[in-house]
Amino acid sequence: MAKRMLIVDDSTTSRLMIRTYVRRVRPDWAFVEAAGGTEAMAAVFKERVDVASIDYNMPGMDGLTLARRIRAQLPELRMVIFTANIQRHLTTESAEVGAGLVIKPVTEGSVATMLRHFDA
Amino acid sequence: MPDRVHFSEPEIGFLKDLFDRGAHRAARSLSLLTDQDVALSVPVVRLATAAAFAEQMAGLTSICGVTQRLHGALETSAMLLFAEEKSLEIVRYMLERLMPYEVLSELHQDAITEVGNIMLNACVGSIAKRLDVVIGVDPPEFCLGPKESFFAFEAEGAGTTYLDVRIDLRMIATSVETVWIFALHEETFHTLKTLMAGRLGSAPVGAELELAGG
Repeated sequence: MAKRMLIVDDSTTSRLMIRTYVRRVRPDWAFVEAAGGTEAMAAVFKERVDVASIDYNMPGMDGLTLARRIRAQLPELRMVIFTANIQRHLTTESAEVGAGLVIKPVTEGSVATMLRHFDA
Repeated sequence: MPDRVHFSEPEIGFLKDLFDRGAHRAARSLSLLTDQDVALSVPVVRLATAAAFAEQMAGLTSICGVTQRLHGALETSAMLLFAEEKSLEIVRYMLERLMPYEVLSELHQDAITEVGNIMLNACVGSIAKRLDVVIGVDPPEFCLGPKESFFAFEAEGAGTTYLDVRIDLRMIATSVETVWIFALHEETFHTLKTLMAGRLGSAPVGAELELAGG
């Protein structure tokens, strides 16, 4: 089923790579992109979003704070924290907010892992 | 450099092992990102002054780097330096499968910033695990320009000591001279010694280590 995916990452390259890899296997999906938390919250209110990939380490609002705020508005949204940070506390904190955790780099394999979280 | 800033031989051995593990993790990430075989090793870990770095980098005409502030268990600034032309090669490996060649240079700054972010997080994550602490990592910032500008990120003045971590980064078609630099303010230096002492099973020691340029 076609979905609309929110990609939040301050790195243009990462957003582009996520979008490219997802589009290869889900060509009918649409994308909404945001470079930070404030922009992402605005997008969530403006557009219907089914799934979200959220970077953790961003200027201003970090990804977990953003995920908590989105969760308060959209309890059913499937979310993944997509991060380069491999420290263990993030596993617990992501689970607490009901988000999956996928470790960067963005590759075909890590994007496939993210999609499995969305499909679960 | 203050006379009291020294690491003992066991501490340097511990740091070398720490960064070797971090480099191994970073190599794995870089290999996945570029779809290349990547070997990363850490031949040298030493203390150095900003002046010593400037001297060592003098032969390189153009360097780019990624800086990140670390906080929590260790308060420091970290910088990853590449020769600019080599960083372009890394970006090419990373993105050539995904987009036309003409677009790559436009994304160079953003892409190498993400590479630095991924490599540093891999290294810091490994260090945090080994020391059983949590280390926060701020978003990365890109630097491009004369070597002197890299030391502008530290406002602490001439007394700041730097931990110089040389990285031998080899990909199939290229060898990239890469350096990690961690600024060690006095308080951070002592925190690091205490954390290492916990792992080495002894009180922090202050035996001499030869300083590069010191």
